[in-house]
Amino acid sequence: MANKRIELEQYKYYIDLLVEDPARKKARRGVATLLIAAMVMSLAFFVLGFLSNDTAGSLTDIMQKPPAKAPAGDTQVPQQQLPEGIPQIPQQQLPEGIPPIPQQQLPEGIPPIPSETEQPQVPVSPSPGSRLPATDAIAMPFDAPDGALLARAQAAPGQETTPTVDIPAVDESAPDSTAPGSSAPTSSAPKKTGPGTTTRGAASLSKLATSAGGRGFEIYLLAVFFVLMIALYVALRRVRLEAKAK
Amino acid sequence: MKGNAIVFEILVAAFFVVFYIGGARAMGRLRHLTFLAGAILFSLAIETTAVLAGLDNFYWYATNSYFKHYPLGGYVIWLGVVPLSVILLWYMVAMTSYVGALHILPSRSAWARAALAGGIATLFYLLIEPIAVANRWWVFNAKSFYLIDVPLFAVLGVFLSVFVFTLVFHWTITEPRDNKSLKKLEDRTVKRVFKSKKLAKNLSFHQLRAVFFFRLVVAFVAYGAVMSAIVVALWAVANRGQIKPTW
Repeated sequence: MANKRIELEQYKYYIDLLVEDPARKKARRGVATLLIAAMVMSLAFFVLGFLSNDTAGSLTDIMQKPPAKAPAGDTQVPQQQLPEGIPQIPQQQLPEGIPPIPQQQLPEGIPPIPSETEQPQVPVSPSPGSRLPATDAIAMPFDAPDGALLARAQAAPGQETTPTVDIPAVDESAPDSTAPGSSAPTSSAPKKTGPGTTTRGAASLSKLATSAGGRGFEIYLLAVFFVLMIALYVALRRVRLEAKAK
Repeated sequence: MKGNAIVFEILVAAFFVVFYIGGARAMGRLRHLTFLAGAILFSLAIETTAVLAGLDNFYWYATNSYFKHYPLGGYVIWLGVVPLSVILLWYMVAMTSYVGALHILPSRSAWARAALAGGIATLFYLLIEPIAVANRWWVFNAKSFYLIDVPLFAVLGVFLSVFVFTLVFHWTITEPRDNKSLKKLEDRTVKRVFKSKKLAKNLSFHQLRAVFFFRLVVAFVAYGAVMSAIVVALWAVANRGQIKPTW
């Protein structure tokens, strides 16, 4: 005891720790708070995972541009899509003297343009360098510059040629999703057809999500959540037993 | 439903407050602050290295026009190339795992505790990673061996990082001890700063903190060496291509 006292006086380290050490009751409460918070956080992620089941099942969904909220026939480009500093072009305010183009009077022999809901599905992942018709129902390519949207907004009414969107050719050997301004190393690996087609992994997320009657992902989440809860509960129980014992 | 990155960020920020209070009570204010600072620096170094090496990235929202349709569609607070919420999540997981392991195995060796902490952290990330991938909170780019769209090196990396971090923290702050092979290096470097060659258990808390950060640097180098070997080995056996933004 005397030696310990000498040590306490001699070394500031011990004094620091004695001052620093919280009371046992307070420490136990802190540990319990941590473990319960971890359980709640796991539950929150678990619920979020359940809600993300449809996204996990079709991973391409999230890559698509959300559908435009504008009503059918309205060709106005959403304001938030234009870069700053570029004024919005009013779409439905024709200058005076120009009569509006009649909508439903087509010459004979020309088939009517299908409405938005009738337009055929266009593949979301076009090949690099291809040209897509820029209709309203088509999702813009993700790497298309904002200028492409602006070009649509400036198209003259009654233009006979179908406006197109140029998709710049993508160098597939270069990593695509890298930080802006950073130079990621290029891969010399041969080109692949895409994720999920050639994997050697146990299962892809979409396969898992669509398996077991569409509940595979949920079952997986439930299993991991259950094991995690057991581990956290064992720790919490130990803390409570410790508190009772002392 | 599409869980936006902002949902993830708000969720993490809300829980961080609770974890901070709980951690300060459980470990003591100074120890907890040391743990927090160490966790932030250690995980930031790991994640930054991973992003710069092209293994993963958090820029999916920034590289696609999708995010423009939502206010604050992407991460708000960044630490370089890594969102703050990802770093805070690692801290929370490491803290819970360490404290849980201390109480589950109260009388076992530090190795066993650190291994259990790594195991609990891996369980956490096995729950979080598929949700993150599904919602594009982060995206893996590396050619590797994937398990439900999460590369195996990410799972191993979580285990190893929490294992190493908790081991260093335990041996430096909780129960200070010296490593024979590290002692000479510490005497020549970090202990030269405060002009002391005492054993770790005889150092003041502020000196111990300096030693802790020094050991973290060494641990990061060792971790990087091991993980590089794992990533290269998995790259060699894998046949999975890169994920493209137009996918």
